[in-house]
Amino acid sequence: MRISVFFKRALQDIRNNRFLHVITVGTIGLVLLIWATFIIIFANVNYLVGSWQEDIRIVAYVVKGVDQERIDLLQKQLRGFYGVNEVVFVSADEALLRLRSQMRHQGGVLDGLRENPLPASFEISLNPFFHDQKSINGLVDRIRELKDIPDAQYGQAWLNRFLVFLSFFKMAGFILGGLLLFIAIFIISNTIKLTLYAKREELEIMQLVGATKLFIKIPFYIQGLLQGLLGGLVSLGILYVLFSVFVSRISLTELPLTYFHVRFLSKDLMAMVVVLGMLVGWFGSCLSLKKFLKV
Amino acid sequence: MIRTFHVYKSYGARNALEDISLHIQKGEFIFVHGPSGAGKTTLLKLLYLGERATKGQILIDGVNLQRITSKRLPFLRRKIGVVFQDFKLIDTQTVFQNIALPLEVTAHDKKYIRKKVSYVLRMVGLENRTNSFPPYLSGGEQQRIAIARAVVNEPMILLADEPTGNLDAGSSQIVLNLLRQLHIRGATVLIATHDRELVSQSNDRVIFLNKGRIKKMKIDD
Ligand SMILES: Nc1ncnc2c1ncn2[C@@H]1O[C@H](COP(=O)(O)OP(=O)(O)OP(=O)(O)O)[C@@H](O)[C@H]1O
Ligand SMILES: [Mg+2]
Repeated sequence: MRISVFFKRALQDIRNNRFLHVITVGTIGLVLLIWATFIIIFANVNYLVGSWQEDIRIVAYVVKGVDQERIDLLQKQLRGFYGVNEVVFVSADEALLRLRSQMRHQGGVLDGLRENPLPASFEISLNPFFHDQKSINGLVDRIRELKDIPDAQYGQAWLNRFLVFLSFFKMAGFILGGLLLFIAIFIISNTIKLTLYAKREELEIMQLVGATKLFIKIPFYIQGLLQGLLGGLVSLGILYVLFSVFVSRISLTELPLTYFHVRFLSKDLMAMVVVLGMLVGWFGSCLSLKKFLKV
Repeated sequence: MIRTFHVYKSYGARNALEDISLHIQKGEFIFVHGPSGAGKTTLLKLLYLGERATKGQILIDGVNLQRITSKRLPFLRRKIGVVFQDFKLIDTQTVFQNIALPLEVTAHDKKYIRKKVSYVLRMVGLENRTNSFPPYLSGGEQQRIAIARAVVNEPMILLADEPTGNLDAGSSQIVLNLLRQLHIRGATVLIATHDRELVSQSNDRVIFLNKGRIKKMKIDD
């Protein structure tokens, strides 16, 4: 009963102040659209980086002419290193085969070779948690110290520099996003103040007939939450349309990224955007009510 | 039920009420009478805490109004029905919603509210105005809506400020009967009016106010 009374009051108020409510929903929607765009970019970059990180491998070359026993021993030693996930031995012949298949039509070039120029190697994949540059460099150094391993290489050193860069960008994004949220809350609390000002007599009357402050406030909280909900849904809707158009473009132009599937927000992140909107709306109404219901 | 001790109310340098000491018993039916500007409305305002007294003490049902917390205030106000001189109806809400408000704040169920509201609307003879908005009603109709709202939750105390100010003799009688009915059911009723006729018709106690002071109290004229 109570809840339905509050909802009725909230909805009636929205109907009476349509224009202000549209502005509020629009403000929340715009801010959330910017937020959600950030999130979609970060989520995809994170996902991309994650897939690169899974691919990080150290290649340890083996001198020519070592016997199988020695290879087994080396493999065992490598497996024993901290952070190492899997160690695969690639013989010189196998390496040549791979090269041939990668070169496909140009493979004929290799036929002229009298002797295989490629060294045998170990491909060492790492544990998922073992991804910072310092640890990887340390591991590479230790592998180089092993007998019969003249060199070891780690291809994605640039990735770490990229990650530093990325975290800087994330921070900037969150600061900007936080700022936007404050602006949104400010705008919302001011539009609500306008409706409250128009209703100040009604609020006074309600208090005179024995309404508690909470009774007066709850419909405004409901309004704030509803506005946030609507704003969130609107922003997700717009983002989805933009996303569909934009992503269908990239797959057409066959960027080097095409092996990577660009994703829309996950369900959790969509829920987060909506909840964020509701928090903004609620907070905006709290702020304005605090100033208005002093008596 | 209502006691005031040397109550003063001043607006700036000017005293709207001076040295008001009253004792109104539970179940009394009492008039506050005096010329325009005497301070009748101001006295009622102090009683429902629309304003605070500048000096003095006011007790209502044992509660000291000078000390009441803002948290308990709504609960005191639910015991007091007020017919405001300017009605104080909510223009954007229907007659029904206006009258239902005092019941809604105390969480009655829908069915009870509907029954109760249509009952008081019949009492004031406006059952055909349920869904109108106050600005589209005549002054006398608005006044009767204000009365209906004041009595709908059967308050212990009823403060009525010029409840017949906009009404013809017939409607005045209906309204007065309504207030008397509430009185018979146990409510303490205080009516502020400058209508000499209304006062002289009755045998009830009358407090005469003039220029913010009590001139005399009488049982009978
Ligand atoms: N808010 C206010 N600010 C300043 N002066 C006020 C205020 N309210 C009332 N007064 C003054 O206090 C005095 C008493 O006013 P009040 O409204 O109580 O009179 P009243 O007896 O109700 O008159 P009426 O019969 O015309 O309604 C008046 O002189 C009025 O000008
Ligand atoms: Mg008056």
